[in-house]
Amino acid sequence: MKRTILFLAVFILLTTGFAQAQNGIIRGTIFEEASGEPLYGVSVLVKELSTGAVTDFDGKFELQVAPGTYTIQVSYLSYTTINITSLAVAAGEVKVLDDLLMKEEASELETVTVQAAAIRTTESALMSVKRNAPNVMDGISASTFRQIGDGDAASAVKRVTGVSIEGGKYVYVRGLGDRYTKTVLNGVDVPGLDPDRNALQMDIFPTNVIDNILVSKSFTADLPADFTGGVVDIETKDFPEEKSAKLSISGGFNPSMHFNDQYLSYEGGKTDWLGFDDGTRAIPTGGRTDIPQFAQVVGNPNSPLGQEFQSTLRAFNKTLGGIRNSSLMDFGLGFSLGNQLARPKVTWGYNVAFTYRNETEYYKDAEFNLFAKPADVGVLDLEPLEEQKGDYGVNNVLLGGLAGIAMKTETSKYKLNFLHLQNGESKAGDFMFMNTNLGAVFEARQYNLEYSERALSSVLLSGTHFLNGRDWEINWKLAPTISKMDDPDIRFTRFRIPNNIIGTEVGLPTRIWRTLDEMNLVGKLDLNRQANILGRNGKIKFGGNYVYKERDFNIQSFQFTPGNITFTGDPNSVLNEENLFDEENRNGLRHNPDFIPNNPNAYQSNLTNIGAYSSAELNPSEKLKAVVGVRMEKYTQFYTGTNANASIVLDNEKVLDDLDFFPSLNLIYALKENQNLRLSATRTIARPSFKELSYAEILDPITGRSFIGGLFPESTDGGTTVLWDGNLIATRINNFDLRWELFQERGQMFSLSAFYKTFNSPIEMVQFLSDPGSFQPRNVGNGTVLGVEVELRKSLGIVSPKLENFSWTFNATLTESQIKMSATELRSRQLTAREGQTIEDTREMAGQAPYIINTGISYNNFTTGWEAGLFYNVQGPTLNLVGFGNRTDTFTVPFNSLNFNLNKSFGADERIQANFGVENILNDKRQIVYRSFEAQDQFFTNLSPGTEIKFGFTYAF
Amino acid sequence: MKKFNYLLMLFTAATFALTSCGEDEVPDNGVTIEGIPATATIEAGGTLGPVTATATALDGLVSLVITKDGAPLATVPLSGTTASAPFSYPAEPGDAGKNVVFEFTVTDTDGDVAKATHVLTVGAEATTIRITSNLTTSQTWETGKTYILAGRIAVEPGNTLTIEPGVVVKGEVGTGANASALIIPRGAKIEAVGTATQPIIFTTVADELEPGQIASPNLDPELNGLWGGLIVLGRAKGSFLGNTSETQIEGIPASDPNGLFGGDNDADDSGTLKYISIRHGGANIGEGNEINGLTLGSVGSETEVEFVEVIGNQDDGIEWFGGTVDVKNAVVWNAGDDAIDADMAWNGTLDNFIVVNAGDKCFELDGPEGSYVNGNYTMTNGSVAADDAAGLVDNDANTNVDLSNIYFFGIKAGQTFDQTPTVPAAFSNFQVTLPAGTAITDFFLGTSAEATTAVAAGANTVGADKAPFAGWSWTAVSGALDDFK
Repeated sequence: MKRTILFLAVFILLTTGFAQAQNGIIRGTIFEEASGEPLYGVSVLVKELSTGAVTDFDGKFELQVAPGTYTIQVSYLSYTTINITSLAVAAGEVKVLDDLLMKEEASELETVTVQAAAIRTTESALMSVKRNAPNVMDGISASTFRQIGDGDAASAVKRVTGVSIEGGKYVYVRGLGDRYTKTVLNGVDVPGLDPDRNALQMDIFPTNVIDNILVSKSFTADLPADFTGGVVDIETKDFPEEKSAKLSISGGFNPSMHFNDQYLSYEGGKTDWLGFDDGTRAIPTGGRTDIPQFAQVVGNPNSPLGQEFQSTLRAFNKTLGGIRNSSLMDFGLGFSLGNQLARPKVTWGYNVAFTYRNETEYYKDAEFNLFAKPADVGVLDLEPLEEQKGDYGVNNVLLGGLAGIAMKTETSKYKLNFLHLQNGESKAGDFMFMNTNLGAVFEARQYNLEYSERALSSVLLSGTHFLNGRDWEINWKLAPTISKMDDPDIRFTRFRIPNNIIGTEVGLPTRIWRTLDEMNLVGKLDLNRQANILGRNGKIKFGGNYVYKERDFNIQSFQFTPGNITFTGDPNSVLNEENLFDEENRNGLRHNPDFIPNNPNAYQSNLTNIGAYSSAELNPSEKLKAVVGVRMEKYTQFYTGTNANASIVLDNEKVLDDLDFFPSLNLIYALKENQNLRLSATRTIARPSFKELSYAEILDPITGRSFIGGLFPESTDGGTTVLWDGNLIATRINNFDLRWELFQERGQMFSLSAFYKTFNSPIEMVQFLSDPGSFQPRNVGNGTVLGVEVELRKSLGIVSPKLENFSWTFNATLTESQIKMSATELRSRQLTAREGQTIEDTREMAGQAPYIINTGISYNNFTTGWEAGLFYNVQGPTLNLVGFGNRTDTFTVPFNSLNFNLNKSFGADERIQANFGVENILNDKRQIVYRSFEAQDQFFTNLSPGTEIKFGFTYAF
Repeated sequence: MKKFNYLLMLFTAATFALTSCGEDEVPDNGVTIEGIPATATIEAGGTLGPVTATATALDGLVSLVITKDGAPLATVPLSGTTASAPFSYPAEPGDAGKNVVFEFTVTDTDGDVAKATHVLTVGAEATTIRITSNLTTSQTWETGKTYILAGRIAVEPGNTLTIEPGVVVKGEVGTGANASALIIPRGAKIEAVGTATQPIIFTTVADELEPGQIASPNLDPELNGLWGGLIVLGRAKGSFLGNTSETQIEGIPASDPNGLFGGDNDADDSGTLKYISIRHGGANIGEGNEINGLTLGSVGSETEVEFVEVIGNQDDGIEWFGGTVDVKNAVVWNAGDDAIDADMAWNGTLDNFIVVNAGDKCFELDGPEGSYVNGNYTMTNGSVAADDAAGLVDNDANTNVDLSNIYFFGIKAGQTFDQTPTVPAAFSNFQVTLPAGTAITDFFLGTSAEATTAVAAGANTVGADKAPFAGWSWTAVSGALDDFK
């Protein structure tokens, strides 16, 4: 607790240091409406004072004025003049006029006059970016986060058309799985935090460090080529426009989860509340691989080796079961501080943000089951093999900090940003386990304790330079990032009922330590030249980037052999002294390291991706814009690791060496001033991950499932039929997009899109025909995805003027995907087909949602400060795991998410903001089911998240 | 038999002609030999050298003669005034543990002679041989020796591993993916034929047992999970999940094709196992993924398995996965899980067997996993001392088994013969010695009660004959079979 107080004290010191003022400041940014680009050299005049300023290359200006009320005149040759009236500026205050859009004038001396109070930061700036972008893109900005009340990037980004979130963490764009979605931070690659995924976990980015999230759905040459559904760019906060210091607190109460005395947790470390382990969960061997093993010491327990073995055994944390006690509610704390300091010739800006979140979840009667097709093909209904039902509690802590400084001169801008995110998640579960698999019928009580720690530190140094007016724009970025994922001491214990037996059939107690360290280094250079091409304004872009990634992955697991010990059924007494191996108790409980002498659950990998591109933005006719480009990527990947018995050893061996060219064509035809027709045809790629392109044989001791590296072949019929040749290659994808869009005033819009993608040799996880418990990445038959999208933002003022403050947003994506099955899968499906079932050789793509719908009604009243919204989101039933052998396909059941949020600003200058929200109003459940031909669906997972009431306050100093 | 060849590489390195100085008398210039060390030591089967002998004779060299222990080994013709000859010698089996004397004799044109002597000490033959990778040729493991399995060792298809009587095989330490095991995959054979006085013993490196011993000098017979086990796989039919024709055995990753079993040759021959004792194994890989003492996956009917003992295995004692092999004279003592386990529509006979103390069930009897099934498997003439077992017989609804002539004793409350399968299954001639105050139906459920009669301890007229286990099995030697007939 002392630390929190210290923390707060630092905040207050920081904030008080910047109170100085006599004059007020007016700042703003001017854009050209047609192109969405900042306007340089615009005159901004304070009519009453006859003082003025001129915008810089970013379209920005700043004026110092004495306190008072002013009219501002914005004028530029051949553009419509804007008058902003009644702009009240108090002493020491910064008034920001963001996103002023200037139109090329239609008639002589036209002037637009607006009340200063009517200008707000809305989605309009983003809309203008979207409208003028050369590619199909979407996004969401900070102002919307507030309106919807989303606390992290994952929940915010799912508001974007065609975006869905899996497991609260991973982004899917247009329903394409995470393999086809790329997540970048400030435009540069960052390491993922999950060895099994390509994408970054989005839930660790708190919204108060984010400026906006942009989703590019079609490829242009300046983007990385390894995405298909979309590239999601999280932009952290930049140059603040005004001095701001905000403190916010938030809370959430879920009646089914919070203040519940049945909540499950376990004794962790003293720093769990800060999102990291204090060493309580450290591995007792220090990670050594030369530790003595039981068979070496059983004959001589008191030898030096035997004593070392015994002391290691006694050093394992003895807590194996959770505690039932009352849960706390969710709470959060945020603080941000930023300012801009204008000095002669140089403008400085800084930004600091801290965030802390502590969330608690409790799932009662959660189910995790295994159902299968019976051996008799005449029986359609599925039979249970394993049923696991019980309760589990989760405590998730997120601590994040962002600090950035920026400097702007006449022709250059430099930014330096530091970001650190720390996340710790502690889980405790208590389950009943029913086994009916393969004749072994038993009931058991299962205890799980887990802790997962994720950390990400990123530095971004970037610069922008303008040469020769705005003719040349040069952007460069240098971004090293380090990420770390640790699962220290995953603990699993299961007792057979009723005699509390622990044995091989019921599963031995297991402890696992898993670490993933990744380092990324990205360097990027983009050059932009305004040019006159074909008699019209155009742009030439070229540049390159260099990405280096390095990953170090390691699992060390231990099994505990019970020997001849009998147990009470209390997990916390399993490791009692009287049970443990020693001189007197030679057949006592002991540990067995699974990773000695060979550790197939460890690898080091690195990759280098060198990219270069050039593209041209042409205007062949007044209404047509064409962006043509080509990108080259030279990609090499290296792997160090072994298979299970170390008969295959790769030592930094090159496993992938590809040189590809990715052409892209984007056409934008302006049907009318506010209507675009877009067409794009591009080529992109999806590459196998570090682990996939390997000879790894990674066994998960808890699920009993194995991951087998893609380089191993599989054959059947005594070796005569090759099912997989072990030659895993990258997937090349052709993308075609067609979009019609209509932009209307006040951010209203309507668009219709269609897309078609072809996948050459897509990679999917395929199970072995000879062993359905083993999964391997393989290239399967070619696939296609066809989709349509509708997006609508409409003010309800058209229905009735009374509803002017209401607006309706709706977006929907409908897709139809098809993939040709691998030989293994087809054969397996044929062999287990039910009577009367016909087996096709194609199916939908795994992870591809058939539809995604987002809709909502929002209310905004700037004069009263009320904002409210009711939002609905659903994703159609999606193929989750592909069925194999006697296992069937699993599908996620649509989750009908209905959320409500209300905001109100109070006080002088609206210094206080309060918000209130309700999540999952429909109290829907998160479910995945086994589905088979004419059989009743059975649960794979079944969780009740309940309904949560959220509230928060923000105070601006 | 491994053929020993010895290599002798000799060549002339340098020669130069001697020019005569007219008709003067030629002085006698003598001859020298250099470069041969006086002594060297190598291991049994090791190779000496190469060492280089350099001979010099101004009168002109003629030859180098090498003898081994007095017997001629090689003669190398030489010429010129200086010549070098590299010499190497791979030790023969007979050299092990001896000193071998080599004599090098150089002669020049006028009969001068120079000699060098080399004494080579060859170490005693190793009696412990560590096997670190799959056997890619046929091999014989010899009587009197101990072989260490350094990991998961398979005999690659097409090869035969012959194990002579009395051999001890020890698995190295390791669990999970590192569990050591001996695998005889499809297409490979094992000829492990012990004798009633010299059984072949598979155990852990922790066991200080030496060839010739039956009981472990240092390990308790209950200790288990110290290594993997013996896995024999064949091409006979089985009834597999998903109706596949072949499948992967538990304990071996799917990426290793040596773990595949099943096919369509019911008369497949994986070799012979006789007088085999397997101890302290059963390392756990993961849940539902363990190594049994003796795993028989789709092993065909031409394979002979007789006189088999499994002691202190962490998982099951003997487990059949399909196949047609018969097993005769088997004893399972202190199994950590089930003693006798049959799955996947095995179609053979287990005859004359003893179970002493199981961890879970004495019999775990399952049915087909796919749609293939071909009649019932048979277990007959068995005696079972249940002791600490969780149950007697665990049948499933689809268990295709015929059980007859089995005697159960040492039973206690809670241990049951659990159910009668709904598929045809025959139970006959069971006898049981009941704890005082209990009834047959307390233990034998379903139709099994009708097949059972109660007898006084030791008064059984059915069951196993323990005579075949005498002498070679640790179970018998330890006295654990004293209560059996």
